[in-house]
Amino acid sequence: MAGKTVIALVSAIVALVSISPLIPALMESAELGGDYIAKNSYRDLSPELRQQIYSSVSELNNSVNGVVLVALIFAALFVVLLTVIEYYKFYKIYKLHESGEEK
Amino acid sequence: MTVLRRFSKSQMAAHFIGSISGMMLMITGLSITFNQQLGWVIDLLGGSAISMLLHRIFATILILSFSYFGTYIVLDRITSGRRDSNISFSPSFFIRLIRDMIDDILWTFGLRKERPKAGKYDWIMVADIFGMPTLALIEIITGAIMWFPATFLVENPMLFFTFRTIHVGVAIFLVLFVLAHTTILHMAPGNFPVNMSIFSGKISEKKAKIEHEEWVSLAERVEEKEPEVRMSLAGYFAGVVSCAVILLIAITTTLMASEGMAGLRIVESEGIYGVVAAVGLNLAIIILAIYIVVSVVALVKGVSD
Repeated sequence: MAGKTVIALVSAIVALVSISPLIPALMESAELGGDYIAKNSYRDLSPELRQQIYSSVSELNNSVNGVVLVALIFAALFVVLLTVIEYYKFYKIYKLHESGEEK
Repeated sequence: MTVLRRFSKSQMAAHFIGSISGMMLMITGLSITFNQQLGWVIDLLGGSAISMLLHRIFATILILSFSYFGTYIVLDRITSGRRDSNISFSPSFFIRLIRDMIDDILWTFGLRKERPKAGKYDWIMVADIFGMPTLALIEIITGAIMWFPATFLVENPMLFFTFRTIHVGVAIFLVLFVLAHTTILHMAPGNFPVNMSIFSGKISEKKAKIEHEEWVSLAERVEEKEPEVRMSLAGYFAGVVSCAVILLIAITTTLMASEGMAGLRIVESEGIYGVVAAVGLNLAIIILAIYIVVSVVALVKGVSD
């Protein structure tokens, strides 16, 4: 029992530490209708630097978009198939069970 | 007949807090991402500023529960061992899971005589147990980067949009994951309208013998009246609707396309395809809202029983 209490206490400390940076940020966001743009805005950068950054990320972003989209479509179709198969499995299990064919 | 102790209070709390905060994150997040189809949700919540604030509040709750229960489960496993759980981290365990998955599917289609016997967690539950926190961790990391771009993206602020695409892609998959999880483990025959074991911590011995035969001899017994599980017509209707919504969301993913820095967008927002996307997304939101209400009611019932 004492062991459980120690584990719970350590876990609570870890949890509180992990959300501690988020609480002040939430307070800032709570100013509804206020400033939602980060203080360290990209506007501070020169147009040339922004263009350079944009070009470097644009290509990466298009690749990531493509990979995420393909992965998502395949994963979605897999989930559909698996859900229908598993639902039917439960139907079959309980149908057999009710008829007494499976104990 | 007796009932068996299936889940501890920590597991029940982890499931409840994680699922409620996760589903609220999906509702607020989907409406921000697909505001053309789900603008009414933002209006209902009080505007985009409140939607974003709610998204961050529920993200904080998710991180709190994720860190607490993650640490608790790891430390408990180290100090007390695996008790009645069949989950281990050996290669043979994962090989058996794959074998069970194949055998299970073969049995479902009548290509195998015997259904594989499962321990406390069958292969699909283990996939849930490992998959859900992994995907949630990706969302937490990408979400934190987007929440604090000035901290994490100092060198290249434009990477914000790359992380947003990953965040949105995984979120859509998580919506499918949650809908599939509830369809299989709550809507299916033997479980409908709700699988109470995760809310009460107990399961009937009869049901456990059917679904988790290898675990029954290891489980703690509790003298209690065994609940009767019956499948109703409403159950089949709910199952079909749930499967249909998963299909509609899957079709919606095929209607999306890359729009550069804007990320993934539904390109066919008009005509029949637009209707499919709108119906799928709106039904998903409504179903998630229903699940939240059902989870609260089930927990109250489970704890009071």
